[in-house]
Amino acid sequence: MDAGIVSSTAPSSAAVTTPRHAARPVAGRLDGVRGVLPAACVIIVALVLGARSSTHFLDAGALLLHTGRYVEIGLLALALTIVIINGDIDLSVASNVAVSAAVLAIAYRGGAPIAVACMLAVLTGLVLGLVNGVLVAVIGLPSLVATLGTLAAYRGISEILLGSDYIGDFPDSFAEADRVTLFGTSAQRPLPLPLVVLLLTAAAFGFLLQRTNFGLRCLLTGSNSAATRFSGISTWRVRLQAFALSGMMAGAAAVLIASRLSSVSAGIATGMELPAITVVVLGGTSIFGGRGSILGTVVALFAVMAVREALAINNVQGETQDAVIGLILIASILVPRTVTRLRSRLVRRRVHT
Amino acid sequence: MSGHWKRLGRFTIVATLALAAASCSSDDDKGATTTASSTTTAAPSESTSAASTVDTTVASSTAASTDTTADAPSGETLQVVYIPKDTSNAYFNPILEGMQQEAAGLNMEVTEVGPASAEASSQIEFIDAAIQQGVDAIAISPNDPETVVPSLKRAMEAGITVIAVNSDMNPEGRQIAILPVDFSKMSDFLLKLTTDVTGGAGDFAILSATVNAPDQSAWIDGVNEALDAGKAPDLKLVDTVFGDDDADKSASETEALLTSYPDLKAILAPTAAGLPAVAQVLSNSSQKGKVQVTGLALPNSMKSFVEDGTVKEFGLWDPKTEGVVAAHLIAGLIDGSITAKAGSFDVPGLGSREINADTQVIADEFLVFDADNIADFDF
Repeated sequence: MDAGIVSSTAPSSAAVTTPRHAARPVAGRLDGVRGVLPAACVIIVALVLGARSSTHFLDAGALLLHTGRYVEIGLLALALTIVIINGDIDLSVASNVAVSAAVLAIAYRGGAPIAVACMLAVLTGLVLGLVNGVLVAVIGLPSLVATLGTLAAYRGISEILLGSDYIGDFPDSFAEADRVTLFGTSAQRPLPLPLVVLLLTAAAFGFLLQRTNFGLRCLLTGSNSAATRFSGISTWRVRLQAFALSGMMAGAAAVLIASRLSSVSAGIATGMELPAITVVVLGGTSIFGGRGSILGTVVALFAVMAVREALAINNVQGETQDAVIGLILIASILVPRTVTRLRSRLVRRRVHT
Repeated sequence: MSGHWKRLGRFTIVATLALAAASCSSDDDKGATTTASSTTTAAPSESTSAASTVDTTVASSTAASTDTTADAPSGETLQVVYIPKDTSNAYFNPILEGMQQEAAGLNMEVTEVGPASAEASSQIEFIDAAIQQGVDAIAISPNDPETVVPSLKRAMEAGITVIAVNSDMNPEGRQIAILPVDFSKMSDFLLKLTTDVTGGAGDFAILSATVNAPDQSAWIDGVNEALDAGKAPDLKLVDTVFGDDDADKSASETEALLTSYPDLKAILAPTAAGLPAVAQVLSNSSQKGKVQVTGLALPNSMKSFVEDGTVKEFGLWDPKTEGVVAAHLIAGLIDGSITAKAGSFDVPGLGSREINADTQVIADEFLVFDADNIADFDF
């Protein structure tokens, strides 16, 4: 599914012997596989604990159906991986979903065919993403502040567009697409449509990051923006493109969420940026940029899902679940940092003796 | 950069093996895998294939538990999940209390689980988990009338009894809805509160929620109609202002009312977020006692103002009654003595309750809180 698997066979000693900074972009590609390990660990712990605490937990059919709730987070996280590799952040993704979903619903209510409404949603997401990109990459605002601003602004727009309305009554062909399953026999179709969408999109993003010049430029931009600029790569364009991608995926997530809920309201997708960013960072992508992998993001998505599902089956209250996700976010930044520091201290000691 | 990942990797593998070993040691019947494959979907899942050893362990216990439920369906304790709008709002505690009070006598076990925020889609994962657990019934106070409908439809398809408690929703998503009171009588109730505190004569003003809050707008229209019809001939509504359910805005609007209308006898605030703010302003004002305050609010938010004499009485209802009715309704729907169509049923201790044409049940009458009874309520 991901080119990262292939490159994992490359000798890791090469990365160790070459100077760290020079190796970074290459290491970025290699880290794909190692970055998966913490998330894989989380999956296994969550599955074991979930299974030991509830006999109902390991129900493959139920868990597969529940992936619908996480696919939207996954789509946001895939594009966020690129944004974060660039050294930026996009906090506005969930609010962007809300505006895109509002446009979809209003266009449909206004008489547009549902397919056109969906395209308008993706287009809206793209435009809002470009706005972020212009603010950050062209004007030069810090992405943290700029997208915190658009987080509030976009949510405000969705509230202005929808007020206290619920727009629903979508056609049957569109509503509840997360119930549509594919492959297998007519009685047993194991794969829900959104999951297939996610895996295909992930493959595309994996290709984009690992096998295209754009991907290489992102890794370079994130590891050393100034050096990359001096070597003739227009880093602003790379960053703008990443924000545009992020917006487009928000539009796509809006289509899926509108379909899954069969209705759209102004508060849709509130707080979805937290799990999306958690997934990216837990997947081994460095929050400081320059390093990351799509495979890691995908595995981390299933890790977050496994944790939430294990907590939910045990009737753990929502606030505790949110706290656990927040702690995982902190831990996934803290643990690699601490390990790196301990290691460098050990190395230094070895040099001194 | 690569070295520490390698170490982390090694740790991960060790930890994984340790956990897998721990789970396997509790499993002594590997033969159960074959029976289990029929109960769980034979679907290749990323998660289960990643930990096939774990799958074996648990699949066997799943099979075992399925057997026991199949053997004795009638004697089983009914498993009921109550999902409030959010778990931080004390209003929903009495509903759970009411359900749990009746649960013992109905061979029922009620668990409450819910989201941290009242965001519309945040209840869905708890519905999905309840379906996965195979509970007998879900009682839900829906955060909005539409978003949870697809999930609840799935619950009903799985044979789970679903009722809405405290607010109704799209009827496709529930069998019966329990409403706390007959909201069509709200305007009369508000006028009664105002009459009580003013003695039935004088100027009064209304502080509402927002300009287009649908419930409040309808109630205030009703109050106006009742006044026009001469139901309280000596009361005069001089102004209606909006606090936007925000404490600061409500407070400044209250201060403006006190300045603009020196003869004001009462402020009526039919919003639980607005009334405490109005009472707060008056409890610190020289007008305290001269201008009466009443309306709708949760008793806990008003206790201090009733104690210090700012507020004589205000109203709401007792959510606990909804819980009591809910428990009996669920038991009746499951044993077949109640069906989800117009009719009536008996709630021991409360009397008969009617199911109207919209398959709604009204749980109780309005309740007036004053210095004598407010200590009895905690929500």
